[in-house]
Amino acid sequence: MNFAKPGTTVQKAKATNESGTLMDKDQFWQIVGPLQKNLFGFAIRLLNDRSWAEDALQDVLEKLWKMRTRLDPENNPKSLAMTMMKNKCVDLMRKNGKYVEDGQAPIMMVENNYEHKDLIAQLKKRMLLLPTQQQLIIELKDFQGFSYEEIAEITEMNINTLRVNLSRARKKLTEPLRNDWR
Amino acid sequence: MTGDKLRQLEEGFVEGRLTDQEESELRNWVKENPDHELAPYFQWTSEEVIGEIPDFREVIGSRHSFWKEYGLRIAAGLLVIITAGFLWMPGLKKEKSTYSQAEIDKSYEATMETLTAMSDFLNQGLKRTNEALDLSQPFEELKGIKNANSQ
Repeated sequence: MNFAKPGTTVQKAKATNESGTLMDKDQFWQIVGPLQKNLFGFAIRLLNDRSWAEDALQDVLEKLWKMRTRLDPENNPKSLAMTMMKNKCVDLMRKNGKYVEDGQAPIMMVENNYEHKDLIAQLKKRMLLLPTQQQLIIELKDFQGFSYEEIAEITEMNINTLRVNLSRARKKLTEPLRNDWR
Repeated sequence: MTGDKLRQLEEGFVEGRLTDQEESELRNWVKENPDHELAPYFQWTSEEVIGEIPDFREVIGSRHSFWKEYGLRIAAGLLVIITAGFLWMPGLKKEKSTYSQAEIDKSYEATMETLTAMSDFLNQGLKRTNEALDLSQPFEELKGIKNANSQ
């Protein structure tokens, strides 16, 4: 879960930019600007702290700026940026003891008769109680809309493990909803 | 969509079995049917409000001059060369003991002059680097932007 393996998006980005033309500030922001909302949303939900999320975003933007010669708009820069953000967030969570391993997550209780708005609040609360790896998958699949293949690449997981974790996470998250409809 | 198909998609979604296309189909159907039980889930994941995004446009990429990127490395390299030169000098004097004292002194003075000139050059370079970097400024700027954003 730390850094991208050979053959992942980072490696591909390096390989496709051998000409290494220096991108100016406007070109850089044209590519990176639209990704900021995704990156910040990812960080703020995962870290659950606005100030940390701002620091993480700035750090990732700095790194992207430094590697701007290798930034290719046709080579899925969103996936590359998200891989960097995932690594940064996981790093921060580990350093601050907030990384939750599978099996260390608390048991979630389900109450009955939620109102609609309470259900969304419940979903947010339950998301924070998931193991970090499951939070990452929900974030990438349901919030960011990445495909299974892209998520497998970003999280360095095989697709079967990914689906198992996604299933566990969605079951825990949607429990109050399913309880509501019974 | 038929009841069976919907149930199949609902179960498949919760169990992570659907393809990307099927998930998209279910998401679109629920969007058109906001009373469905999964509606809060899709509403949450597609409309989550994260507040104002900090703007780092003024900070990132604006102060990356030649000196900022390479100044410290050049200065460090020159320092290493000069230090190595000073360490090497006494050894050289000893080894060349067959030279007369006058020759050694002359060579020593010439080398010292060169080193002094290099040192002056380095000092000027460092001064210019410091001026170009103005290390305290980016953090102050960033703090200002953060404060502005948080207000």
